[in-house]
Amino acid sequence: MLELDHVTKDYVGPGETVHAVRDVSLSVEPGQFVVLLGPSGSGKSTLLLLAAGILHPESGCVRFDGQDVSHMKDNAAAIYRRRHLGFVFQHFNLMPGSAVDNVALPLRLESVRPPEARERAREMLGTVGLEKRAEHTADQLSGGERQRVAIARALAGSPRVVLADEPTGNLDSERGAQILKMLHDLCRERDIGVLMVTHDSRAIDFADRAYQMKDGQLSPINGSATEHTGMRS
Amino acid sequence: MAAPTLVDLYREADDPNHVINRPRPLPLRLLTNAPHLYRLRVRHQPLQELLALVGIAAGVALLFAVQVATSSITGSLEKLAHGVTGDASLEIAARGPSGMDQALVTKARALPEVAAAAPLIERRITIQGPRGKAPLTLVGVDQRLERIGGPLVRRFIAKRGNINSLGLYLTSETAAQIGVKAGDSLTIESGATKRSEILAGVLGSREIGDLTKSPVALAPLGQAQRIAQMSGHISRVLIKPAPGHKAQATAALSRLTSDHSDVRPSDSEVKLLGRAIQADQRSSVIFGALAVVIGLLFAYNAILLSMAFRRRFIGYLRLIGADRATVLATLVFEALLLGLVASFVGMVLGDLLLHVAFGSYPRYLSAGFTIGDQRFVTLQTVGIALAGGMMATGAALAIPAIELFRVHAGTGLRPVAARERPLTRRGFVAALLSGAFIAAAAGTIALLAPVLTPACIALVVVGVVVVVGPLTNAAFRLIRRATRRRSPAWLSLAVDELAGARRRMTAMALIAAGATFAIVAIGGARLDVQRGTTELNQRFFAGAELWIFRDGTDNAFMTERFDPAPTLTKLRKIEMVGAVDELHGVFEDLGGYRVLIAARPRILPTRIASRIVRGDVISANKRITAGDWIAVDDLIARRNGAGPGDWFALPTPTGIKRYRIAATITNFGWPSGAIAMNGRDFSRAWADDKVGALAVDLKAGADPTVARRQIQNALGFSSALNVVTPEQAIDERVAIGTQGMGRLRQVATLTLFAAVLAIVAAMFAAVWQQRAWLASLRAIGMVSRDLFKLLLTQTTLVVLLGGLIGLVFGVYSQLFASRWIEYSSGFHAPYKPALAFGLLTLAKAVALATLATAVPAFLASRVRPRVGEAVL
Repeated sequence: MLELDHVTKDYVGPGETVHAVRDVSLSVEPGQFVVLLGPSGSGKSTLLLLAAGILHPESGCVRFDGQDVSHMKDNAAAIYRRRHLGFVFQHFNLMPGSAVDNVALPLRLESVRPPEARERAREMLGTVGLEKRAEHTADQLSGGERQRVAIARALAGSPRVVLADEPTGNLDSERGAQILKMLHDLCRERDIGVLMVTHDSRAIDFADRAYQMKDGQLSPINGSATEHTGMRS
Repeated sequence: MAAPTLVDLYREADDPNHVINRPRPLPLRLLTNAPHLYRLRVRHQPLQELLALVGIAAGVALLFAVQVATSSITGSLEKLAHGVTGDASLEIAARGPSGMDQALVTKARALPEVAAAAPLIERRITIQGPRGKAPLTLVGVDQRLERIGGPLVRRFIAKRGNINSLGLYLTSETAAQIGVKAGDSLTIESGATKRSEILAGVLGSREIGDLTKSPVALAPLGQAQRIAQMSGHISRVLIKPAPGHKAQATAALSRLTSDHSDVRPSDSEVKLLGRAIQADQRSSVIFGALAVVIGLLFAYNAILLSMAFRRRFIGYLRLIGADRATVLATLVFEALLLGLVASFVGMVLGDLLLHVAFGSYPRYLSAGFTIGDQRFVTLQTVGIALAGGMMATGAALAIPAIELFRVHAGTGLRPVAARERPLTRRGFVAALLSGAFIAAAAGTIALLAPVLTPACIALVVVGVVVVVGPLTNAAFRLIRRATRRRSPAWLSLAVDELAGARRRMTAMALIAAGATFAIVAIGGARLDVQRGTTELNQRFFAGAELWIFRDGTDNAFMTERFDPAPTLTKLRKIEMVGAVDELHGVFEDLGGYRVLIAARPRILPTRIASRIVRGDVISANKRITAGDWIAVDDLIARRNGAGPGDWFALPTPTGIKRYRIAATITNFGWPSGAIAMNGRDFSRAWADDKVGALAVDLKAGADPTVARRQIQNALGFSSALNVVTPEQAIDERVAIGTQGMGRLRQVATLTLFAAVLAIVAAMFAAVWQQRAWLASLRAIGMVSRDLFKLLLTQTTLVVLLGGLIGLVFGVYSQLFASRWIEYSSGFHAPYKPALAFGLLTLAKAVALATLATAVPAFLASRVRPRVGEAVL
């Protein structure tokens, strides 16, 4: 489904070139939970941006269902993200409106009429256990609730892959674990692939495959399910 | 009912017939999403949006008020003119205040090209009742006007079958103003005398609509001639030509009058007024437009203040798949909505301003025209205000919109604040040089092509925008260096934060700079006009120790004429009185302009010489004294393509007279221009023994105060003449003369008001934007008191530094503004940098902004300690 094939990305600065991602190959299949661990500056977020079609690789390519998305034009890449990807963030990135407004937003961008978008958003909030908090704004929700709203929002547009950027980074260990479990379960239920970058080593427990990322390069982590899921390198 | 599982939901999602999978056309999606996305953003940034709205609305309010005020001047005269002239499309207008023989009416009517002719007398008078005085125009008519006259005279004539039994009528507003009703006695001042008349009746709004706001009195022709001391004479003959014979009638009437009177369309009065207020209108609209530019600046700053969030918001939308069309639609929707709402609010505020500040027209115009207090809001006025508001909003949003349109989807993945690049030395020097170059270019263009001056002032505004950020940032870095070692923590933090937050600091400093700039440029120019008017009057009135003329704003140019003989007889009997000069002032219509003709026999040449624009002072002085040479307003000379030495044809009651131009001069404060000539030449051409004023020299050692009292006593209670010292005359004339520029003061004051509002709103917005930082300062132990001081210090520093930059550029632009006023209106406006006025304005702005920030700063200083935030 989502496939990064020998992807390289450099940042050229004054007097130096930073090799953010070096010849990385990786795939995320339906229902798979793939985790990338690594310190700050290791290239994890760059990898997510490449997967989302936001950055263009110097070499290699990113494919979705076999189609090259790494050199798509701007609007085409936007449509690719809208149709196939969902996003979960460390800082939740909730809009100033209510929970239901937040979850309905991707649907509205996808041409769903406002009443239907809100109805469906309410249903999505129900699946993450927040049906009674639908009209609350971000300020009125706890950290864990905010991240559940963010997950509902990521899934509202029926994505096939969720890209998660440090989703537990702002949560305590108990709520972090709940969120990881929720993502994992949802992934299983609907055959959605998840590509998560994180510092949180507990994520390995939920991962089908886990990698360590360092200086732009991937290496499999022993003990994860990597060996039997066909990592390409 | 149990919530559906995700599997259920995704099953629906896979169903092509499910409602969420039915695609909608792109325009419809954009139409519904744009308001939704706008609402989401504004919910987070209501203050920034309000600030943008206040900025645009303030500018539109000023533009609208200025426009309505000026269009109402001509509108009210037009209404009155139509109320009198009705179906008459031509008129014969007398030259000179003595009028023309009324026998002309019968001769005109006898022409085969004329269907109807009716006489009309008009005379400026002052009426007095128990509640006060009112200057107005006495209109005398007879039965012949009933056929062709407008609604005002028809209603008047319809009061009785026989017009001669009607008596004097006032409009209900004038009657109420001076406190009289039908049957009461009132005093009329006309010429040098006062007389009592009985008020026969009042015309109310049910009869003449809002013509009740017109300052007129109506009387039968004979009674009006008696009051005006114009027995057998009339001011105008209104003509209704035979159908299809207007051109022939004009030619026949011209032959009939033999060039001793003007034959012209009956709406000429409106056109003459339109030209008289052209300069005032132009400068008012230009300064109103400047107010819109400043409003634009406020709105631009409001948008700058909101940019950090906007970038994250749009970055997020782009990340989750919003295409550029959606982003563009959201920005366009915002511009349209903000522009429309701000324009509407601006027009409502403008209407309020008209009631509070702009309600009256410049009263010196009443010396030459009869203007009422009606208000006229035309579609054109609304259209210009709306267009101004929409354009200002569009311009304010344009640059941020380009940046937002380019926001990278990656911005949405990591919600970092907009990158604030530190100011480099190169950037600083480049900005300073650019600002200096723009200012110098504007100065050069204004010098070479004065007609482009307004555009040059706008160019200087661009210069302000270019230098404010770098200059204030550099200043904050210097302050930071100076205060680093000894200052308390709150002060260091305040300065550090300002030095680091370039965009927000620039936005706030720009508001202060823009406001100070506008107020100093406009207010300084007004001070220059006031100084010019004072100088002119000082030179003029210093020529005698006492002056005798009828007082009142309608006699600002001493055009109310009186028979001097009785007064001269009385003066001769007073020991202290030495020489007495006769001065003349009349309005004549010349080439479509109502021009002031001023004549003085003895002292005139030296006085005129001091106001020379083109020509040699000494030779001009000699030539005018010798006669047959005149000094002509430079604007009039330019309009006629003439200069010193050229011949100039002047229409007078005794025919067209030709004089040579000795010099060109400034306009004496009358916007349509003035012509100065020798008193002997004037008396010959106007064949009139009346005067506008008497200038009295006292014998050596005579006390002016005692002499004044003696003369006033000698004139007696029944005299309408006033005896004044030069100081009194100067004060009165300066007050009247600067009224023309009164709107500049109002615009400057209101700009200050709008600026303070904008600064308050900006500080509210800025404090709101800083709440996370403030909460984290509280979290690390900063007490509320120090936080309060920190916020107040930031406001004071930003407004002070921004205001100083605005002051420097404002004083520079004042030079152009004054030159522009001189060039376009002929008013003398000698430039003197308004530094004291500017510093006072700056002090006011700093004090008001600091005071106004106290409330949000107090509230913000009590923020709950917190770390981090969860929303975009």
